[in-house]
Amino acid sequence: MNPKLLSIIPKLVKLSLSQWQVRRLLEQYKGVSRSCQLILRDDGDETAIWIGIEDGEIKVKIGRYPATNTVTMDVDVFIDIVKGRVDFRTALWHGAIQVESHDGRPWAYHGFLWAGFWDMVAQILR
Amino acid sequence: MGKTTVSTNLATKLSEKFRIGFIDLDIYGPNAHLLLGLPEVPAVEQGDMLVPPKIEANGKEMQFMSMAMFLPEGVGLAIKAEFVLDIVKTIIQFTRWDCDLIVVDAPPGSLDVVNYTLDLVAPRAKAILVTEPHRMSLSDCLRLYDILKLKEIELSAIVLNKYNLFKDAEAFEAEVSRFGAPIVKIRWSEELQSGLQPDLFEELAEVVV
Repeated sequence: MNPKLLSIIPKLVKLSLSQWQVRRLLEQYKGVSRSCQLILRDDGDETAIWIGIEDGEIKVKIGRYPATNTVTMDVDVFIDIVKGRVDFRTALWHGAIQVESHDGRPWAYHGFLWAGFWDMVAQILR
Repeated sequence: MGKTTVSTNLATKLSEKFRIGFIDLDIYGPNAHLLLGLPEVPAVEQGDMLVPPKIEANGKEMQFMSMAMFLPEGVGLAIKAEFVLDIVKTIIQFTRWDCDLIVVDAPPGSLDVVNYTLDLVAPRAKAILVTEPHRMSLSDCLRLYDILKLKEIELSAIVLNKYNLFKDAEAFEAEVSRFGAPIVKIRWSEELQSGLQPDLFEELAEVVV
């Protein structure tokens, strides 16, 4: 795990304490099953995080696992997004985030879903 | 030329009788949300498709997709045409539209994205050509009409927008009347600048459906 990610721990704590808002966010994902491989790059190093949403519950694992799409970005971009300094959607469409589809659907399909997801997360963390 | 004004008002008028979906396909410069508003929730996934969120316009619900939902206000989009085509494909082919009619605010001109969109919708689509009745726009109209013929898309109406502002409007009307589609004239008015005025588009709604 990249040590730079330690700087977002306060935000993650805030997220875990905002249970009511998180529950509201996850309600949108009831009956939904999807997974994403998040790759965070930093000077040749790579941190792989697998994020799965299953029927309104989020599961996170460190490492590479099968996923419908891969989202790749610099670790600094990810930290800026979590800290609210960069908007996920802006970073996505301006090429700071790459989305790769593994299930035959267009990459924009996954991009739209993650854009919506991160927009809601950002609102909670604001 | 007023495509967004015409399409949003037409969709709103049609929503009085039909379940309507609205797509703002002006990927680089979406504006329809300024008249229709943005949905409060994002698009979500159901099964293998996106489900478009709903907005309420004039007291009626409408399914809605626009790049404006996925881009903060004021942020410019500088992406390659191939990415735009991927976005168009997602909105048209990978979105579950549960409605009677879909109104599409098409991108301007005859760029790749317009051609691609027409190819995707061609089997079932009808077109409305929105133009201002003056000399400069006549060649655009002729070009677009030719593309529609090429794609075998029926032209269901020609809208002469801001008809009352142009002195050569009658001559223009005579030129486009040979396309054989009904001509609907929309007058420029103060009211149309202030927001949706679906009742001004009743004639168009009757002609196209």
